[in-house]
Amino acid sequence: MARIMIVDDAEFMRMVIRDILVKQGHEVVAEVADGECAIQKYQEVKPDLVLMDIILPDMEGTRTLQKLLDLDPEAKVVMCSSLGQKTVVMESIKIGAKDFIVKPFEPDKVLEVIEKVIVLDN
Amino acid sequence: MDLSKYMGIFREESERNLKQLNDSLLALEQNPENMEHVNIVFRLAHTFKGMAATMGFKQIVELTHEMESLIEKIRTQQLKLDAPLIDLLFECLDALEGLVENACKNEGIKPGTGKTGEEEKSKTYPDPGEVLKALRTINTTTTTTTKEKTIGEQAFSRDKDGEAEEDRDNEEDRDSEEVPIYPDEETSPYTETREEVPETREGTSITESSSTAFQITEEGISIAEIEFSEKERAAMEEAEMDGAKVMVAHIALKATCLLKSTCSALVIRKISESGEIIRIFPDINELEEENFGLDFEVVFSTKKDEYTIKTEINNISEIEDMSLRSLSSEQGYGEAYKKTVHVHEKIPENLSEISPEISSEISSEISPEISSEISPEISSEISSEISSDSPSLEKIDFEPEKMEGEAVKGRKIPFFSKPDPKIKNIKSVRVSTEQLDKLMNLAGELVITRSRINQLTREFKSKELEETLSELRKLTREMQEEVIEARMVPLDHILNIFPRMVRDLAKSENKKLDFIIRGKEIKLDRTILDEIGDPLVHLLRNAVDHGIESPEKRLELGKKETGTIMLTASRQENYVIIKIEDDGQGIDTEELRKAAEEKGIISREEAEQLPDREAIQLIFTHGFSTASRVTDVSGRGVGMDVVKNRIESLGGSIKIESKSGKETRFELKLPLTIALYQAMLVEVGSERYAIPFTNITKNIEIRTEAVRHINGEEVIMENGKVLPLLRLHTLFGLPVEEREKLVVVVAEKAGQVIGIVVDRLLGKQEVIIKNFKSKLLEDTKGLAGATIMGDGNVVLILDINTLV
Repeated sequence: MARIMIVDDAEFMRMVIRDILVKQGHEVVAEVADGECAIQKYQEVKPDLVLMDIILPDMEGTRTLQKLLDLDPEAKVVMCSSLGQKTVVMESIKIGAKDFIVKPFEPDKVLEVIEKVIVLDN
Repeated sequence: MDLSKYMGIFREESERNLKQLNDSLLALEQNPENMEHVNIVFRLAHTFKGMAATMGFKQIVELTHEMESLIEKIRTQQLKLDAPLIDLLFECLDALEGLVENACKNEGIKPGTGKTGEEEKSKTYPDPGEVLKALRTINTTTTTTTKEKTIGEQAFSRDKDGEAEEDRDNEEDRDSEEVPIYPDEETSPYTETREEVPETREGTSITESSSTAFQITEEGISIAEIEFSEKERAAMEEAEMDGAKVMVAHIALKATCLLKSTCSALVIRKISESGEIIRIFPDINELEEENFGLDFEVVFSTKKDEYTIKTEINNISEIEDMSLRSLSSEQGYGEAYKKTVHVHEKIPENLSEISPEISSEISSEISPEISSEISPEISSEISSEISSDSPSLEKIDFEPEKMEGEAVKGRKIPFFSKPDPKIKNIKSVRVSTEQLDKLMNLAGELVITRSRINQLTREFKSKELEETLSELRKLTREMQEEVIEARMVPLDHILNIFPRMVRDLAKSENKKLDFIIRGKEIKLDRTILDEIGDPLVHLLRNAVDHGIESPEKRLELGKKETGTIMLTASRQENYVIIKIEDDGQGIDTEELRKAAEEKGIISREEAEQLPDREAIQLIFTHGFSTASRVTDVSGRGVGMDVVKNRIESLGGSIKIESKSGKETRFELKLPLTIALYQAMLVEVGSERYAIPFTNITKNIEIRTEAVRHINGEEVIMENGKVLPLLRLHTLFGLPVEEREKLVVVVAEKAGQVIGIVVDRLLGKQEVIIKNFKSKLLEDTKGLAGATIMGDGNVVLILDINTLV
């Protein structure tokens, strides 16, 4: 079981992801809607993994990612994106995101990615 | 996944986003340079796409995908946001709204609240197919999106419910665009990422490509001959000297992989963490641009053992297969690398669609010794020929090894133990409006019961009892206030459609205007909010249609070319005041008089005597309209009288002021809540009645002798004006006591003032209105409902508007 933080500005998406995660026994330790909160909350709850949308209201997901990694170089961040944001996803991988998931989320795929990211670094 | 349970939140969030989109587009119309709003529009399109993709609403995904692409072009300054583009984005918004509504309808979810009925019922949405076409036309003017569409197609093929049929034309359009094998570098939007290529060694960038005869044939990738550069050879030798091994990783991505470039980047990063990357086939630019089938190879040196590397790479998602083999200096690296790459079974369709021209282009790039064998006709045979016939090529068996990693993929959650289910704290709950109404009612009953206990216990004169009661009074009041608060919705809820409406109206009439809204955070009872939408729409339509002049006329008149319409909401004690002001031509009272006379509403004499202040009230008369021309904007059969009646039936009032040629101002006064009435309690004979406070202008006492008779009706003169009297005694058949003085409550009713004669004023009180639910009583004229007093008696609430 992993302690996961969800960063997405859409409540709908957070709900969908949360349900997928909780169903498989993961714990959603925080849910935030923007980058600023993500950074703040990350330090508070120290999640095992962060699922973060690449486009956020206050700052780009990539900037948030960079800040998170500055704070904690070990941060495991998986980016979530829709189709068509290839460049940004690529950029985030270069910055240091561990993996990415493309919407629509398929539960198996989400879980597989989480599992691999967590295992990969242990 | 059961998606139906997300429908509610999908609807809610969609509506919120549509509203935000609307606001941002309006802001952009004012200032197209505002990047903040461009970014918001971009993000909203993105959010919509993600949500719709999750729900499987294909059309929304397509539309928002194109929107996103379009805005991306604006963000990157490939396109300038001009008026036609903003119009197109508004079209998108409308189409999107239609699609969302449709989706909700199909899922059995009622469309959301907060829309003014009149406006929404008649709203027709643009055809999403048309909007999509328009978007694509713009988006395909550069090649930015062609590849992404390919990805989009893949996603749709995963689409399970197949919500709507694809537009045939569009599908064909796209197919023809989809041969992005070797796209023109200049037109590629991804060129800028090339600078960020990771360095393998000092000075040895992986981009540095030597003569790669790298070809895509019908069967996949074949690397005919590789020549490593001096630097690369040196790097490999050095690594071997250092005790590292030089290896080639062959990676095949899953055919379902959505972002091949990113997957490959993940692999490359992982490998670079374990060693030094020497070369990548195809080179990193090609990978980034997804100019490869599903396979790619990485030459690298490492000190780690094969097993570790295999495990690490296999732990990256979306990898179908990977294998490792060693290169060694003994064979000469280049020689050792010559091989044919095993073709993955699933070749993306577009690979087989390479046109002959492209093939020939490719063949010219292939090294001389084999290029002679390649021609479009035989390209399908090429890889086998290279591997079997060409003596200089070594055939390398490329049987993929079965790896431990495979097992990992199959398992579900092997690494995490099942935890105890955690229950999340719920921060907000959705409550139906009926439930709120019920709560309101119960709180009201509680107040009544409390008042009764209050009266019953007066005789006990117990201090403790009084203290407890005072506590109870405080609690019930608080509770009532909370319930009332819970029913309150910010005005914004209905105001948000207005900017767009006003904009569209102004556009259709070629008028220039600024529309300003202030105080949209002011809250009102939702029942009232539901009712005032239409009247506000009407007033705004009038302001645009009859108020604001054409830009030419305004200039002629020495006014600012752009007119202003301002909607201001503010709170005054227990009322909300909504003002709608425009700086247009105002109302010509002369014209009003003339029209009223022509329509037989007033006589010529009356018309002449009517002061301006009163003449202007004529517009509230039934059947009155001065519109010299009927446009599709006004003249929809709703008169100002309807507006006035609606507002008054809510316990509110409406006032108008106008300066001809200068401005018009409407002022709506609305109670905060409809369930609580501020009322004047009056006594008539042995009965008590409540008169809504909104109607009352003042109370006066007059001597009975002052009453005169005109046409048999009782009247008094008040401030030099005739005030007709209405005796409640007569109305309700109560005995009349002769008194020296009469108590008169002066009330306003549909522009008319009457004096209601009562016996005694009992004071102002907050009453909870109980509507007549029974069929027998619901149409009762003159009564708005009833309320229960502290002593348990029922008191009727008068409805001044229907009283006479």
